[in-house]
Amino acid sequence: MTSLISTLNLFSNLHNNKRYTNTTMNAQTLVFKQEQAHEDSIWSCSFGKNEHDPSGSETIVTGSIDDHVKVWKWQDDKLELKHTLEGHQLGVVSVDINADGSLAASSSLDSHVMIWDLESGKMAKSIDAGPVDAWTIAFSPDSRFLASGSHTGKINLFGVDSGRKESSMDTRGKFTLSLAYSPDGKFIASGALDGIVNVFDITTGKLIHTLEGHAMPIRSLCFSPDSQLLITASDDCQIKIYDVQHANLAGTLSGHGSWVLGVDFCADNTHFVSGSSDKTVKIWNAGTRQCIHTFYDHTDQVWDVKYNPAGTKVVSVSDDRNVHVYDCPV
Amino acid sequence: MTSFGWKRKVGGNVCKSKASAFSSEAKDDHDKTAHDDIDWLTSTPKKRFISLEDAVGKSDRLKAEGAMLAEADRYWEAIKKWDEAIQLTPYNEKIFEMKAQALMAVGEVFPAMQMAEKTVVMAPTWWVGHQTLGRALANIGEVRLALKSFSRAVHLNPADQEMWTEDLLWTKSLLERKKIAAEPEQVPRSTLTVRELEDDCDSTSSTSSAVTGERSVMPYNAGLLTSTEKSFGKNIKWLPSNYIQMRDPT
Repeated sequence: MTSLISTLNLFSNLHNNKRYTNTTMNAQTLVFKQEQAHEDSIWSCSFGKNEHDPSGSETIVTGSIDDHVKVWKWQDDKLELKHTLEGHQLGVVSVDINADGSLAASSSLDSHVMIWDLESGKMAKSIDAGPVDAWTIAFSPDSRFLASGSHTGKINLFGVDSGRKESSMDTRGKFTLSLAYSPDGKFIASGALDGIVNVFDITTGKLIHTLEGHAMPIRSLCFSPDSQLLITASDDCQIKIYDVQHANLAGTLSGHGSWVLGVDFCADNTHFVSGSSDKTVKIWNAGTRQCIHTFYDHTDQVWDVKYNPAGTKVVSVSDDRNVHVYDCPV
Repeated sequence: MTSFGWKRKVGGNVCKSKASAFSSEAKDDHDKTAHDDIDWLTSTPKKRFISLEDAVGKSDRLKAEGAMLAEADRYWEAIKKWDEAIQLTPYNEKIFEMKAQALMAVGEVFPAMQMAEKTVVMAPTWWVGHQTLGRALANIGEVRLALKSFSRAVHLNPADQEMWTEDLLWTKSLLERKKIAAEPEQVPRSTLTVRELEDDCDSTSSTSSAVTGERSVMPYNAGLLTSTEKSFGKNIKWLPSNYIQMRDPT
């Protein structure tokens, strides 16, 4: 118990400046529901800015088992289908949007990574990563690289412009299921099938931390916007919060009734969202480590959840083929 | 001491064959005790321990027995055991999945698919169920749906190398070959040969079924498939007994 309290203290110290900002907020609502967004289960989504659009719209990209990637325009609390990107041969496992919202990347079960131009809806690059060499993908914060996990535990960095493998880092572990860049561009974290989390220093390419908090696959992880915290979501129904600098476990959050499949941090550095096989989407406060709100709107497993860059909206996608957008005011 | 409680519904957890055997014995006992002064049967306190724990234990035992029978290729007996186990624990997806595999092994492809579907509904995160459903779907010729099921299985557990190559990529290559075969001639009813995949625990002989538009041709072991005959009716055409089954060159 004492260790728990000490980690709590450590935690609240880290977030002292943000602690009181959100005590009265509790107005989370489902604002938009796109039914039958895909023909089948949706596995991944990403929520990005669109800096080239003067009207200030945002972009949502979704990837589904039906082999399609769809690009949606989010404006005036409405989703509008912009492009349907075809080209993948098997289910789309992961999608990501780069920082300025000009490019999207997608990876599928057949290990093809594709980079798309979001404005035109055309394919910009296709990378054949070889058998089982691409799973979760993530753009680097400067949009120059695309990182991807692989079967052998290696993390490959592909050049966005060249379309070639530039470098790779070896976790010497199992299948890398999940992957995240820290927003400051210093670290890359990977979660493996056996529950091990590895944190790499990108500049040196060296493994700096190995975290063994979960015993089951880690399907999603993400950094806080200040790159101080790392959140991991696992099949053991728990979410863990780590302090990246010291590799300390800062908290364990229970509440989901089944596998936790997706997590994403809010831009306010305090809240994060999680989606689970128990069909719920939960909004958490990382400072108090409490669940603030639970959405029960999906009728099947929620595979992915994402905050928008401003941290005001949450998108979730599910096996029930729907895309939901929630209002989560900061 | 008499305790208050709702009357237990007798027979909920008991299979019928056993129950009837017991009740016939019980009648005899009754006749005997009728001559005595004391009615032993009604005055003995009812035993209370036959509840959850026992049903689960018995179901586990039946499940293990069924697995042993299935390993010895005695699939029908195994299915019977598992049916009993399902009566005791109706929400154990493992039993449904094993039953689906056994049904596939004896060629009952449609019931196998139904069992596998139940498995997936009960345990949507258990990839083995998705894999079995995929195999069952491939067996009834639904290659596209099979591919979806294998995709789900691989997505849930990407570490299984065999599932990648044997199931997912193989099914995908089937679809591609179908496309190639269908394109030059523009034949609306293309023929597609589906090889039954080998189960990981039971070594089933590989069989093949060909789906030709409306009429399906399937192999069978004589005498085993009486109920499929009924359900498929006229659409089924038995293969001649001298038919040599060959594996697909991959």
